[in-house]
Amino acid sequence: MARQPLFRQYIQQARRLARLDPRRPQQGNLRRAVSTAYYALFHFLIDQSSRLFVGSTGERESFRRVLVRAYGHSEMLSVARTFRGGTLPATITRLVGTLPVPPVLRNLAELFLNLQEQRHLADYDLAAAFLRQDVLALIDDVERAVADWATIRTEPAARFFLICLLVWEKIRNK
Amino acid sequence: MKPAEVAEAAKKLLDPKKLPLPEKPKVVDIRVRPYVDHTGEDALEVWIILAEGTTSADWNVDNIRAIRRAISDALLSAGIEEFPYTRFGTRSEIEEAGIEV
Repeated sequence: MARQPLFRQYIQQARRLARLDPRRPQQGNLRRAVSTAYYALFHFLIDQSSRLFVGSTGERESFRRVLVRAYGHSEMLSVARTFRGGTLPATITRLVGTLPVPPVLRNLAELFLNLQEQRHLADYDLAAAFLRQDVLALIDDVERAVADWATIRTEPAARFFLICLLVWEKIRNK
Repeated sequence: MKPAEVAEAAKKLLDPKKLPLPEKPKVVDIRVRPYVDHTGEDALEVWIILAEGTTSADWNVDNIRAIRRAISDALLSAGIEEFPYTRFGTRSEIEEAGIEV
């Protein structure tokens, strides 16, 4: 049986964690579920972005495995902040023209922002508490975002988003 | 505007009676307060309080996204660019978990 991509394994793992403890969910399990859901989305995005940059056939797959190490959480967050507003800065549009950001991409950008913050709370803030249904809805949202990506993956804004995930800090103010 | 003023303006905008929200899940209240996210950016913490007895079927991705979209669009169209970090729960669940909203 073909091995599932890491992001898909993480979605399943997050859901299993969130559904443990049928009566009263343990915060430890919900925290790990939130963190795992974030990493599902993180790995999905760098998977798509790195494939766009180098492909994945033949020796390119090994190149891609090196490239994925270059992605950073804060740079990706900055890209998501920019795309969630629906308009790109003038420094970008003067070169690439107007790139309308489709609603699916805005949703994804907002989900990334939300999830990265919740992941930070889950991993580092001992005062934070999580609700099972809220966590399950986040996991469902990640799964939907992955499915929705197929509907926009060839759109210019989506392709540019994937490029920005890796090089945003180098191009944003040029 | 100062963070508290932004939160106050957001609170007025995010009146569940005025927002284009889906019929289900029923939103009974939206609580907003100033927030600083883990990167140090000013933001908003937004708790969406759902009616007691909300089912998991109503608490689905489409409905949750519609609520988030209504909140985000209302803020952006009023020029409020602070990101609304949204969380959902019923009042009893929130209280049981010891979360202050």
